[in-house]
Amino acid sequence: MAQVEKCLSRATYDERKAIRRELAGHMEDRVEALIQGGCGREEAEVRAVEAMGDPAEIGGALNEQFSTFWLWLGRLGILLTVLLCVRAFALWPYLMPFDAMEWREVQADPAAVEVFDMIVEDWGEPYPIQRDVDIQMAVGDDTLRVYRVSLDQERGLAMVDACLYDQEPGGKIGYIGECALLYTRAVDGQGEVFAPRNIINDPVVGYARWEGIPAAPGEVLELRYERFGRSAEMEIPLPWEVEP
Amino acid sequence: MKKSMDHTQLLVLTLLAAEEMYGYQIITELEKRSDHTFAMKEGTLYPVLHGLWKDGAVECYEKEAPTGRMRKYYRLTRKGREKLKEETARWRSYSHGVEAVLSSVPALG
Repeated sequence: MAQVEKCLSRATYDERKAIRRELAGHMEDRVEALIQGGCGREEAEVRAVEAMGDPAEIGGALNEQFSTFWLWLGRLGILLTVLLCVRAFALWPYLMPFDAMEWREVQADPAAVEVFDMIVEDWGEPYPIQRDVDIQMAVGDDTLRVYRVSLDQERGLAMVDACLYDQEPGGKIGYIGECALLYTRAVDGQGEVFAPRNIINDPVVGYARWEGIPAAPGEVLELRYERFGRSAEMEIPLPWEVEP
Repeated sequence: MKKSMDHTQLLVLTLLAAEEMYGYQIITELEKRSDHTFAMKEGTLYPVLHGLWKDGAVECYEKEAPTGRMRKYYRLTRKGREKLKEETARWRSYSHGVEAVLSSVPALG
């Protein structure tokens, strides 16, 4: 029986099982008939096997009755399912367009600073003089939004909080820590460049905080965003307060 | 021109036209009715049955045998019945032709 099964390369597991059951049933019938005819069980079994014929020949002829079309279609289906699962797993963060849309709405809401603060709560408090702003710039599909600027007037330090998201659901954003750089430009034209100190870079949204930026009245902060050879820049006003 | 049927297929269809049968029963019936002329290797019946099933000439179902074991029964379909009619006519015409040639040679008669 095993020899017959070996030849059934075109049959599915269930089809092979059904054939095995059918042939085994046939042999049992033959054995019973031989025993009833006066044969011993052992001899009856040997004769039943002989009566069946060449297993390779039977298996080969049975195998020809099965079309390879459905078998290969089934295998192709399994392969495609596996590939899709792997792809879905790899692209999981991008397969949540509604989440991405929600993020986009939150980013676009000027009153969303509280939400951002919850996300970056372990970054600590902003500086004492704070101003919620909504300065946005787009580079390709990416939008960089500065949502708060704060100042420590006594120490002459500025802090900038920004987030980055893609306009398209599921779209990829750049790595905010590399794409967004803050420049200072002093009154005398001299300046420095700062990378963000704190970063959260999820696939669909990024957060960055520049802190400890030396600032003096009259000094201008400029945020530049560069990705794939395209760039944009925006000026960030600092909330200086007049000394009492 | 349609491919003519294998003679074993024709014999199996003929038996199934009378009643529904399972494999072993077909073998024993064939031996009995042909007076052991068609004592084929029993396993070779199954490719024939599966071929007929694939062509839609027979259908099968399982029924419990008196021993409690499940048996696979085959029965003729409408298509199988039509096929049997066609093939029987074809076979008769063929055998009539052979007979006519054989009879035309006096030495063989």
